Amino acid sequence: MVAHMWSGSVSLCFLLIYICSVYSTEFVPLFMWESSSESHPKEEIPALATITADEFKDIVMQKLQNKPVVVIFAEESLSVEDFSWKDEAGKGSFPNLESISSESDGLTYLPFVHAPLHAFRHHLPVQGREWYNLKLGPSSLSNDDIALNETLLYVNLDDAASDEDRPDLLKRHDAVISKVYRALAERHGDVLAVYTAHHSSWQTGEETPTRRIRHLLATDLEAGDEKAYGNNRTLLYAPTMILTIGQKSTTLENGIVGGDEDLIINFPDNITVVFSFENTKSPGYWSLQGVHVTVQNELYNFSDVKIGAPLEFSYHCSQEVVFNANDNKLNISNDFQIQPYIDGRRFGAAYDCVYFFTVPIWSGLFVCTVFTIIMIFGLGMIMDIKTMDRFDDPKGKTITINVAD
Amino acid sequence: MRTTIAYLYIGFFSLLVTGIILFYLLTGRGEALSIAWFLEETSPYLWASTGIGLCVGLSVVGAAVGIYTTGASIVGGGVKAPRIKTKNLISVIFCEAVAIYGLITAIVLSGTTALEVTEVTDMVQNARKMMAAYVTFGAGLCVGLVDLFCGLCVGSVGSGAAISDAANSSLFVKILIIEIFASAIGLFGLIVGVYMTSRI
Repeated sequence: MVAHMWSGSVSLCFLLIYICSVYSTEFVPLFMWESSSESHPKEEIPALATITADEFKDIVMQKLQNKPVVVIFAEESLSVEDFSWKDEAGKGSFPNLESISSESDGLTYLPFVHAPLHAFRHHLPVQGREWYNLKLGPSSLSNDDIALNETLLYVNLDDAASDEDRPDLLKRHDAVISKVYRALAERHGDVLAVYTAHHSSWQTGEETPTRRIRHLLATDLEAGDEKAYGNNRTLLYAPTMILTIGQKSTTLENGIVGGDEDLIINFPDNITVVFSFENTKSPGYWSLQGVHVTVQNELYNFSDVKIGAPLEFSYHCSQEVVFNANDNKLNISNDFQIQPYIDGRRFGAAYDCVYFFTVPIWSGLFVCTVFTIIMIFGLGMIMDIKTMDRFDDPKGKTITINVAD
Repeated sequence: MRTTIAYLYIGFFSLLVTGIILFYLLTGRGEALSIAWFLEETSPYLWASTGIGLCVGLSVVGAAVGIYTTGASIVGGGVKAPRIKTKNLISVIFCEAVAIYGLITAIVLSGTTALEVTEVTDMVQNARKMMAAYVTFGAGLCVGLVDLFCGLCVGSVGSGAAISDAANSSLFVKILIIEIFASAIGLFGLIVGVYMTSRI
C-alpha cells in the first residue's frame, strides 16, 4: 500500500517535471510596430537568437520611454512558421500586417521570446496604468467603442470556428488587428502595437493536403483552374480527360459545369459529358451509374463502371481511370477524385481504388497466421523434450571410447 | 518461457488487430473491414489448397503422436515382457490407418482441383467455383481435424493396451475393442469428407 502510493507520487513528480521543462523551453514569436514618426535607433538583434524574459523586459522598457499607448494582440498560439507560411499562390496569412509594416516605424520582430506576455503584464502597470482586457469575437470594435480611449489595451484574439483552418483564422485575426490598430492610431499620436501569443503552436498552419482529403474551396481554385468541376452537389477533380471515339481522340478541356445531382459538363465542339449517380441500390453508399457522353448529338454510354463509396466519402484513384464501351474510351488520368451528394464544397475523405490491404495481402496474412500457429505448437512440443538424466552422475567416471587404429 | 512466448504473440496480435479496427471505426469507415469482401475476393485456389494441406498435415500429426505414444509404451513394456512386442503392433497399424485416411482424402481432393487459365466472368460459374473451393477447404479441414483427434485417441489407448498386456495377457483382447471404437471415429471423418466432395 505504501509502496503503491510512493510510486504514484514519484510518477506524478516526473510528470510535473516534464511539464515544467516543456513550459520552460517554450518560445513564441513577437512582432511590434509603432505609429509615431520618430526613428528610434535600435541595436541589431540576430534573427535566430532566443530572448529570455529579462532581456525582453529591457527591450520593452526602452520602447516605453515615450509612454505610448500600448495595444497587445494576444493570440492563443503562434509560431515562426505561421509568419512564413505561404499558400499555393504565394500569399501569406498576414496581408494587412505586411502593409502596416511597410508604412510604420520602429519594427521589431523577435522570433523566439520566452513568455513575453508575462513581461508585459508584470512590468507595465508600474507606471500607474492598468490593463484593459478585451476579447474580440468575429465582430470587431466599432469606431466609437469605449475601449479605444484606454491607454493600455490587451486584446485576446478568439479561437478558430469549427470549420476554419489555420490560415483562415490568421487572416481573420490579421484583419481585426489592422482595423483596431488603425482606429487607435487615428485617435492617439503614439501607438505601440504588439502581436504575440500565449503559447507556441507547433503546427505549420494547414499541412499539405494528405492523400485522403483534398480541399476544393473557392479560394483555392483560380478562375482558370481547369482541373476541377463542381456544381452544387457534386465535385470532380480530373486533371486530364481524353475521349476516344473510334479512331479519334480528343482532350476535353474548358468545360462549363451544370446540372444538379448529375454532373453535366459542356465542352467546346458540342461535347457534353454527364456523370450520373444514384444512392438507392445500396443504402448508405453512392455509386456512379454511368457516364453518358454526347458528341454532336450522338450518345455514347459508359455503364460498366464500378465506382462507389459510402456517402460522405469520395472516390479517389491515382492510377488511370478508363471507362470502356465497345471501342470507345473515356480516359481520366492521374488523381481522379469524385464525390456526389455533398453539402459543402470540399471533398470528404477518400476511398482509394487500391485498398491499403489488398486481397493478396490478406490471403498471405491468413496463411501465415495458420503457419505461425502450427509453428508455435511445434516449438512448444520441442521445448517439452527432456533428455534422459536418470543415470547421469556428475562425479562418476566419464565414458571413454577407444578408437582402434 | 513457453507461456511468455504465447503471451507475447497473442498480445502483439491483439494490439495490432485492435489498433487497426479502432482506426477504421473511428474514421467512419468501419464497413471497409468486411469479411464478406474477403471471402468473395480471395482466390478459390487459396481455400482449396489450404484444405488439402490441412487434410494431410493434420491427420499425419495425429497419426504421428499416436504412434509415438504407443511405440514408446511397447518398447518400454517389451523390456520386461518381450511377448507383447508382436501382438501390440496392431495398435500402430490402427494409428497408421488414420494417416492413410488423410492421404486418400487429400489425393481425391487434389484430383478435383485443377488450375483454369481463363478468367471467369459468368456469375453462375463463379459461384460454382467458389462453392467447390469452400467444399474442398471444408472437407480437408474436417478430415484433418477428425483424424488428428482420432490418432491421439488411438495412441493413448494403444499405449494403455501395451502396458496392461505386459502385466496381464488376457487384457489385450478386451482393450482392442476400445481401440476399434477409437478407430471408427477416424472413419466417420473420412466418410463425411468423401460425401462432401462428391457434390462438387
